Formats: sequence, C-alpha cells, structure tokens
Amino acid sequence: MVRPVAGVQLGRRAPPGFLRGLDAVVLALLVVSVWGGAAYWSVRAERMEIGRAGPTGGAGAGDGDAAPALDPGRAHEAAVLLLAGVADGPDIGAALDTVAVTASSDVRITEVEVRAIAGRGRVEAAIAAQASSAAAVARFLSALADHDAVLSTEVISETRQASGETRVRITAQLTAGRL
Amino acid sequence: MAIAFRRDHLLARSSDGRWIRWSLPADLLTPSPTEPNLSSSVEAARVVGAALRALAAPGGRFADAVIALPDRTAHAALSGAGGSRAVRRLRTELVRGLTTGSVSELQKLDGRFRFGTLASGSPGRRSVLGVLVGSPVVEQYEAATEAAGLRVRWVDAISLAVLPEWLALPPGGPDRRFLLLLHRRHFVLATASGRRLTGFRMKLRAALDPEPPALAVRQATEGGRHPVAVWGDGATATADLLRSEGQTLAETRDPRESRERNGVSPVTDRALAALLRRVGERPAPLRPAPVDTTDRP
Repeated sequence: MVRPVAGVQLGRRAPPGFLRGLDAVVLALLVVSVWGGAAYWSVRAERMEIGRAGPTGGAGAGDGDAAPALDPGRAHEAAVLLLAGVADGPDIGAALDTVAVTASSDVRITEVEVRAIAGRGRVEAAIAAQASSAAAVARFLSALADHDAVLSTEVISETRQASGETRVRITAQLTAGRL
Repeated sequence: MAIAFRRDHLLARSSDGRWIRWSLPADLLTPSPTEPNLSSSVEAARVVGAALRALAAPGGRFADAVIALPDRTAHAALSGAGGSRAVRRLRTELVRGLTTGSVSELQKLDGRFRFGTLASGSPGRRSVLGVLVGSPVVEQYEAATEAAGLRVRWVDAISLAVLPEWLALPPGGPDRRFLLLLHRRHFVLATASGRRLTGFRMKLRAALDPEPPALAVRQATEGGRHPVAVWGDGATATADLLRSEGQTLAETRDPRESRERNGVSPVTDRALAALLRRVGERPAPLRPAPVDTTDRP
C-alpha cells in the first residue's frame, strides 16, 4: 500500500483520542532527537552562511531593498478606494505589481490607474504604455492576459508612429486578492 | 463528517456515503485569503447546523469535522527545494505577497497567517507547496463549524486536498503527468514528475469557459506530449477542446456526465473523501441519492 503524502493542515487538529504510553515515550524520544539534530544543522548552516556573506549579507527573513508594493504616489488613489470600501491596500498594490512585473524591457508603462469595478474583490487597471514595436505590445498583452490575477484585457486605443514606436491604452480587470 | 465550503453552497459528506448540498444565501461567502469571507458568522453557523440536521440519521449527530475551504482563500506557491531555510523563505514570500508592508512590518504580520505545507518527492529531491491563509479567515470557518456542534480536526482547501493522493498514485506511464481541476470560476493545474509536485497554478476563468484551462495546458505540456487528467466542472468541454488540439488525455470526469454522483463535482468529492481518510475514517462511495439539496430556512 502506498502511503499518501501528508496534506496541507491550515487549522487546528484535535489530538487523537488515545495513544499508548509506550508509543508516547518512543515518539517523544524521536521528536527530541530529530529536533536536536535539526537545530544543530540549522545553526551550523546559518553560521556557514554568515561566514560566506559577512555580517551585512543576505541572512535574515526579508529583502531589505524591497520597495513597498504600493507606490507612495498612488496614496490618493489608494485612499479613495479604501474609503469607498471596495478595495484595500494589498489589492491596489497587487494590481500595480501585476502590471509592473508583466511589462518587459521593451515596454515602458507611462501611467497606471487602478479603480474599483462592480463586483467585490475586483479592480480595473487602466494602463498607458509605450512600446518599441507592435510586436512588443502583443507580447505584453499576451503576458498580461496570462497572469494569474488578470481576468480580462482590452485594448482601448493603439497609435503607431513612423519610428515603429507604439502607444497603447489598455484596461485590464484583475482580482483584488492575490491567488 | 467532511464539509466543503463553496461560494454558493456547502457540501457535507458523511463517511457512510450520504451527502447533502446546501445552498448559501447570496453574498454570504466571498473567498479571499485576507478579508473576512463570511459576511455573517451567525448565518453561516445556522446554515451549517441546518445541513447537518438534514444529513444526520434520526437521533444521530456528528462529533468531528474536517473542512475544506474555497481554493481562493488559499494563497499558494511552490518551492523546488525542501530544506527548512527554503520553507522559511517560501513563507516569507507568501506573506509578502499578501501584504504591502515593509520588511519589519512583515515580521509582525507573520503571526496573523496560517501556513501549511505539502512536501512531495524523495528526500534528496523534494518540493514544497506552501499555502497561506489569514488566521481570521480560517477562524471564521472554524467558528461556523464549531457553532454547529462539531469539533474541527483538519482544515484544508478543496483542490489542495486532492493533491496528496494524486501524487501518491504510481505514475504508470510517462514520467510527467498533469492534473487539471476545473471549477466554475477558476481552475488548478498541477504537474508532477514521478511523485514530486513540480508545478502548481491557480487561475481564474469566466463561467465554465474552456479556453483558459486549455491554454494553460497547451503551454505546460509541450505540445500535448504528456497526459492530462481533467476533472471537474466543464471537464467534457475542456477535454473536447484539448483533444481537438492533439492533447493526450489520461482521464476525464465531469459531474454532469456522472449520473451516479448526482452532479457532485469529482474534485469536491475526492477532496472530502481524502480528508476523511486523512483523519482515519473510511469514506464509502457516494450514495445514489442526496438527502436533500434545498435550503430550508
């Protein structure tokens, strides 16, 4: 018989109704030995990491250079949505992130406006972008449509210039929470 | 007793195979990993209690429950490494994904989330699926279940609950295999190499639209070379579309095509049966007729 892989436990689990004394003792010894071993190797690994990276290296629980997802320039927009009760800070930050990370180097996002739309948990991003070519716009649209949080995309306008540069306005509907 | 919470109904299943689908009032449940999901805890407890009373045998009652939350309450990501540092990093990334705070604020926020993992693969080559849900979100569901007189023993998410047993199946054919779990408004595409989970993706779709899942499968399976099992709402339409594109299909299970299951999604049923097995119960196959499928205020 194949033993199933343990599952995802997100909530509380009541203790089993009955556990024999000997099992409990053996289990406790096992837990202590495994915990001791894990703690030893964890400390050892962290010391080795500090040794490689130095005291100011990357050890720790986060990236100190990470910028906040919500651009301070969007504070007014965020406040309006927050007050309206239709979206919260993470929603807006996630929408802005989605647009930002989807754009490749040949697409420059010039403006993003996040606004609430009908349906709780959804927002719409109006995006203005400049791209080096129509193909770059197509790639951006494809990547955007494929993003997990994007429900739909629509090109509002597209202007091609003689140089090949293309200006495009897009609206994208996104889920407010991140998947 | 196993209970799956969906946006518009809950499905309760006892280990002897009896089941009930109970309609939820509109807007009672809105899945989110961070925002309160249940607009009224009192109403949610009332609905759970009513469903249980309808399902219980005369004079009988249920004591324990395992519950499956809607998929969209679970914020999940896969790590290709299984060490403790990798899992800590995965947790931090997931917390960061649900917040906009600075790094120092993340430390404070961390305690506000429930974090679960699903490890798969051999010890030397392990992957870990991390799942994060806001603690208040989980507590809402637990409170609604406990208010109905049940003790909560396990909490999982619907599609995630299916994965451990799918991964434990012997691969049988080609090394890579895919599982497409279809719901009305979203789908989950899981990839496994042997018994190791190598891909996990959850994406939205408009009501039963077969194109988004078909597109995800096309991109993931490298031209249809690897077999895909398709389960859930609209599986037949999606399978037809995939078949027309030359995709190899391993299995298709659509609730509408499955008379013996009375339209219960195979994803939901499998999830609930897996959860019952996880706490030591032996779920019998679903009985042909549900006890009741209507809401009685």
